[in-house]
Amino acid sequence: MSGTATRAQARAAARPAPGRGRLPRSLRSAGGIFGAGWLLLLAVLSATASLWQPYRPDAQNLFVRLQGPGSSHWLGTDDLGRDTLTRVFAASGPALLAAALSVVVAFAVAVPLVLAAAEHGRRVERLASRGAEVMLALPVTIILLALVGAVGGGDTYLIMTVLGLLMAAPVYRTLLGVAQSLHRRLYIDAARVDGVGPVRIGIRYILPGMATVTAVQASQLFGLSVLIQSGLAFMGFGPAEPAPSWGGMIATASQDLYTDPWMMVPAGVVLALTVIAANELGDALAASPHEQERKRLRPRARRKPVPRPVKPEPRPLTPASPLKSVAPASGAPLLEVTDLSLGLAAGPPVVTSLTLRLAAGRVLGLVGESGCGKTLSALAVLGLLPPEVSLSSGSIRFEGRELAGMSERQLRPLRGRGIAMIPQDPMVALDPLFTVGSQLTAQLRRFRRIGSKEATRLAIEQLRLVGIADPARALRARPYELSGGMAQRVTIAMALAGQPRLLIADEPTTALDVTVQAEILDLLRGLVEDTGVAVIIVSHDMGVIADICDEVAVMYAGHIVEQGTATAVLEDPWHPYTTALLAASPHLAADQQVPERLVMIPGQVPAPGRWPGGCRFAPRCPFAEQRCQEPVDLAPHGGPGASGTLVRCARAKELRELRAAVQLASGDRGLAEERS
Amino acid sequence: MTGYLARRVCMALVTVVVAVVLSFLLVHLAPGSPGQLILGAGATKAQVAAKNSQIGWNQPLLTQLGRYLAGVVRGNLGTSIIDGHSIGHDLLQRLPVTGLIAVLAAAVSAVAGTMLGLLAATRRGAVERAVSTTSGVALSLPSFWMGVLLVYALSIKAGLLPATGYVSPGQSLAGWLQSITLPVIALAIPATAIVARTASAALAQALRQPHIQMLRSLGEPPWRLLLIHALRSASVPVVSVLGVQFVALFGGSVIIENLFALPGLGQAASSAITSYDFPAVEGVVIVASLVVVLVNLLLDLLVAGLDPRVRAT
Amino acid sequence: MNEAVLMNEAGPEPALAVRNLSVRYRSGWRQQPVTAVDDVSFDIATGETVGLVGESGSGKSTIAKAVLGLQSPCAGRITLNGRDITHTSVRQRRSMVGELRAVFQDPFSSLSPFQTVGQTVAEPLRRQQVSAGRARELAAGAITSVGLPEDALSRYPHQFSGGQRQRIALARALVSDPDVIVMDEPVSALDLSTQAQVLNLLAELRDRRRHALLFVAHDLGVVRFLCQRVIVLYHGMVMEAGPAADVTARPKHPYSVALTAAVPVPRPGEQATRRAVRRAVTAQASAGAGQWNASAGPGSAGCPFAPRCPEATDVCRAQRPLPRQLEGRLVACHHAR
Repeated sequence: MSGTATRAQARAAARPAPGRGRLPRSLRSAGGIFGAGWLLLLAVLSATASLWQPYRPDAQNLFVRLQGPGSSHWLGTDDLGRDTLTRVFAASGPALLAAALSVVVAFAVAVPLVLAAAEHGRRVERLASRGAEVMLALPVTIILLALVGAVGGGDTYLIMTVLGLLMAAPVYRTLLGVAQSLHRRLYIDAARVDGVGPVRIGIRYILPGMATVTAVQASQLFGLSVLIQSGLAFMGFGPAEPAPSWGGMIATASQDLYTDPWMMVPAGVVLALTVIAANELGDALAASPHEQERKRLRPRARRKPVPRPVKPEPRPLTPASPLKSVAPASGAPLLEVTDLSLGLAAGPPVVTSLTLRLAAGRVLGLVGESGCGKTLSALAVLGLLPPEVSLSSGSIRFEGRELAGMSERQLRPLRGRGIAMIPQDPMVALDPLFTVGSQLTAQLRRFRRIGSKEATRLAIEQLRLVGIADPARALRARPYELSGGMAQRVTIAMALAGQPRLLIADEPTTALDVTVQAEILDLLRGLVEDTGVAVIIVSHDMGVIADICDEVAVMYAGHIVEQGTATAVLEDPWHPYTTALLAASPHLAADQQVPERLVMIPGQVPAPGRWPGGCRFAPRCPFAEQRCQEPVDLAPHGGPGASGTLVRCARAKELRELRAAVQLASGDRGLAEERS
Repeated sequence: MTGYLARRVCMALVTVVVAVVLSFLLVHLAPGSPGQLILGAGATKAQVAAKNSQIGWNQPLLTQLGRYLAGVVRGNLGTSIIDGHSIGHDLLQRLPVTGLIAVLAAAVSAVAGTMLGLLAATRRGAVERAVSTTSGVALSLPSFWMGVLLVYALSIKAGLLPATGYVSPGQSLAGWLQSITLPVIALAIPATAIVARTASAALAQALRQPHIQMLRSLGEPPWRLLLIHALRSASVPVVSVLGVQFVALFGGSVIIENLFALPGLGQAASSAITSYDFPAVEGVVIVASLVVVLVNLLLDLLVAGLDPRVRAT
Repeated sequence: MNEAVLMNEAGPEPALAVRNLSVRYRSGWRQQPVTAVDDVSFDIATGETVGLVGESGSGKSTIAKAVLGLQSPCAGRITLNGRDITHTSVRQRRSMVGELRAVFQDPFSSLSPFQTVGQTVAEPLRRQQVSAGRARELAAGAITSVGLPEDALSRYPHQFSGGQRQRIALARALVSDPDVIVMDEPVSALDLSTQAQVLNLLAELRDRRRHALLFVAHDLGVVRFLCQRVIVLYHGMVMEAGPAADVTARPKHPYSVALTAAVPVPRPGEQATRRAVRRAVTAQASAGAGQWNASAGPGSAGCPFAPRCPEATDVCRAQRPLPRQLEGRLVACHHAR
């Protein structure tokens, strides 16, 4: 969940409340308005034709044939002197009706089949799908021509019905996908447990979910149907003369191109506009509110200019020793993040005043609940923020080089070589179409400039070093053949291909079983000890942090609330949030007693843009006072300049003294008292 | 892979058979009979009956179907009831005209559409919107109307290209290209739009995939991410849509042949229909289905080559 | 025949009884059948809370689904208040709404977005021919009992947070005052603080002792907090079963030992100790075991944990151990003592 929680919150905060009784948001786009409007206009004009048409559609007048637009005939006349304006709109009624017929037929056939196939399991579905596949492959126009050959072109409604039957196949295929994914939702399971029958499930739960896709498909099918109709009419197989049809009028026009080129315009334009309208309507319906939201939040145009653009020199790599890395001079921090702030393009900040120091061979944990900004902070180091988030201020120094404000091109040499990422879900982080070996060797060759044979040998070494038992077999495997733990080991091997000095792991074990998680954490710990690589690990699990981290930063609502060594923060927390979080965890050490109830933190994490002015935890904190309405700095608990845990709480010292007093008074009942 | 190939070939055969049977049924279930239509309104019942039995119309449906299919398998598509010429021979000569135009239009739309899709995927914002809007309009334009407009603009007004007439590639390559340029452009406009949309959406989605993000975090340059990795992921939906488009292009080619006076299947279909030459109509259906199914089969194999996961279906 | 069943002391009929349950299914139409659950037996009495814990592939969710009728068992028996419910029809399920209810894992897809909360919560009652007014009354009662205001009934699920939605799901389960509630990982998708809220709610439910609760989870800490008894599953088979406190604090089965050692606690000191234990265990176990995705074929004889077990011997690989009584619990291991 790379920062999606934070961004989703911010978006929700920025979104205006949906109004009731107004046009659905999807239709308020220009395309939607045009589409619906034009079709409506056409329908009205053709229905009321007898009221407004200046001439009758079949009224010939050979004296005025092949005229251009004029005062008596606004859109000119055709080769028999008939008024084009009248004929163009007279053709629209039957065209719209016929297209509507084909759409109705297509859905009337496809929808019940889809519901049946989705509900009744594999055999029905396979049969229906094979049938649809065959139908999909049929050349529609050709078959229709055969039909025309049999019944003549005049019977438009029959032809459109057959078209609808043929079109049921693509509709079936699209709707089946939607229905199947809806079927996997748990509320369907819940309904089945309740004893809801398949028919009712289909109607009550699946159909409403298909509404949007149905509307989109219907619009597109409508447009296609109009096109095919007109195409047949163009060939001479449309409604019999003298009934007008757009295709027929264009065909007539093509015969008089030299003498009256204008004639091809009115019918063609109206036809084109109608199909465009249908497709635009479909597009507008397809654009979900999320899509429109995304388009509103455009990325910021320019980054801040880099103060000293420095080209990182390529480090000498040693192909012989795959995992040995060179640790820089001890004491100097590898990574220094100072006062980092990240914000959404359209609005609120999502991370503020983040300050971290990390030395080589140390592991730093960023811990917090979803939406606290920990993932975005980690991504910011490598410049991998999503498009709608950007760095608004602060500095990121890696080995002395300033990374903040660097362009993509400047950052790229650093990625993989200086800093590398370990992904959250290893199964999707590897390309499913290629073998593990090809992916790993590709990276090794790119970083170390070695040939393929050497790379293969090295790849086997790397895989063995990350704990894979049969590296040769792993190289030949595809990602989906691996278990989750193995896949994560592979991604770690890939991340190490360029011998980076810093690894950023974004919830690297969340997708894994707990026993496998333990193995991966052991592996990471081992790598740190053996090679001196530094690690930033992002997690929501305090236990994971306790397992491998040397230092911890606890984040809440976009900033750090407590920061120090893992032992200090987890065994002896100062901030009320940290304390509450630890007490809310059901994971207890062997010596701890199982509590009657876990500690609950009332309320919810505030979304970006809705952060309170002072302490952001104050609304939920049992110890909040008046002075907590003022912003608080992250400061050492022992006062300025003191060593030890940094905490962002105005009452930290006071609360600790209070607790000590209570402990003394009630005979050392520990933190339990304060927590309840 | 062989299993997949076998299954695909099976489906292809089934499709052709279905197309043939379907058109056969359509033709034979229509009101009236060939004899009636050929001899006109003035003929007596006896004359009509005689003509029908001469054609073989009165035999039971299944027998007729069986005999017809048997003939088809042997390559004999029957003879025209109008002028008695061999349908198969005639259609075989017409096939390259229609087929090559459809193939060329498909190729043009594939290349142009992919390039537009790449453009939209790399330059987000105004360019992306422009491509999306233009393609939305372009895919709605009827090819036959485009054909008429192009004939007027480029042939009549500008005099650049011949309006009608066909020169076979054997006779003169330049002449052939000249004679088919307008029809190919007319057909390719909507097809390019659809391919562009599919490519743009597929590329955008591919770029968001986690394994692409992983490669980006390892420092792969963006051109490689786009042109090698994302394009490969996106190629599967693009090839699939090309298959669908080819079917549409074939149909579209049939429609515009009369406009450009091209001696292809469309012209044959037109005249066969207007003269009630049922065997010829069925012949067109068979030939068209075979071509369409064959091309789709090739594209299916291409997709299976690009994405091995498909081979299990 | 597996005689050793996890039964309570002789007493009233258990609310839910599962005997020799086996479930097999095919993952794809040309794949080998996978045995997800292999000869599992246990009871739950009214007022008891039992936890099924295991990692992915342990079969715990499949067991829950089989009890709920979402998966068809290929062998074994499931009884509800003495009545056989192993294979039920849709109509039969409708009549069981007053006795057996479910809460699912994902709060975002377990409530239909097309119905109001009130409709969703009241729906099971409508199946039972309860009048609309009475149904609304009961729904209001259920929704307030999970800590949400009554006006929540007229709102839609998307207006609530994940934790609140799980509470709505719980209200839907409670509305018909069932005998058995099956919960499939109800807190796994929730944040820590939200999880605590819902767990406290479930703890209250447990303490009221009105229902039999089957709680499926992968998190041993949660199970230890909430459940009175726990059943540890691996590859579809019971490895160890007994009182939650005992099994989690002093596990006997090597898998339970590995599992408890692997769960991290937020205590760096403790974690260092556990890491040392893990390293010792890994050094002994055969390398590379359990890494590949193809299952070792649970149809094969022998203990399923043998490939990864530091104490595995030939008899472990040859013969599947039956659960036996050991210090107040059941352990399926040849060597545990």
